[in-house]
Amino acid sequence: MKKSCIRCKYLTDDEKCPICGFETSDNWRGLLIILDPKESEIAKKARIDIKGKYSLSVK
Amino acid sequence: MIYAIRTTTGQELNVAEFLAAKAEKEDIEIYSILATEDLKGYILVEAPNMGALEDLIRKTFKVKGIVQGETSVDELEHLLTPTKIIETIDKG
Ligand SMILES: [Zn+2]
Repeated sequence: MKKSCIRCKYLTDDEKCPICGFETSDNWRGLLIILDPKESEIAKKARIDIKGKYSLSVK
Repeated sequence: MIYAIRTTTGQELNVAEFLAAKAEKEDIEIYSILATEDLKGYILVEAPNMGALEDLIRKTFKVKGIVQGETSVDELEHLLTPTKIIETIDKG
């Protein structure tokens, strides 16, 4: 699946991140799926406020 | 609350995606799901209570069981730290 934004780690099929416009990379690890950014402590810790799928690390 | 569930090693990311889709389809209150190749055989699920987690894993052979106890978000800090290089670029 997909590529990860090198800035916000959002997972997408696109070359540019649809959220922040940064480049995306194939070289990522880990998967964080945020279903409810308002309630999720993990989302707060990772500074994510948009629902979606994110990598944990990206190069 | 953050709970750990057991799954097949090597299938962590696939099962996380499956569970996220199930939560949405069945309208189960799940806040987040975290899977990484580094946590072999385990997936972390953030939910308001154990009942929501039980609803999530009901009728699926992909999950082998719930691990006793809870994890705190502080214990996951090392997995969630933002990329330092990018922060530096932002400032420039
Ligand atoms: Zn981005």
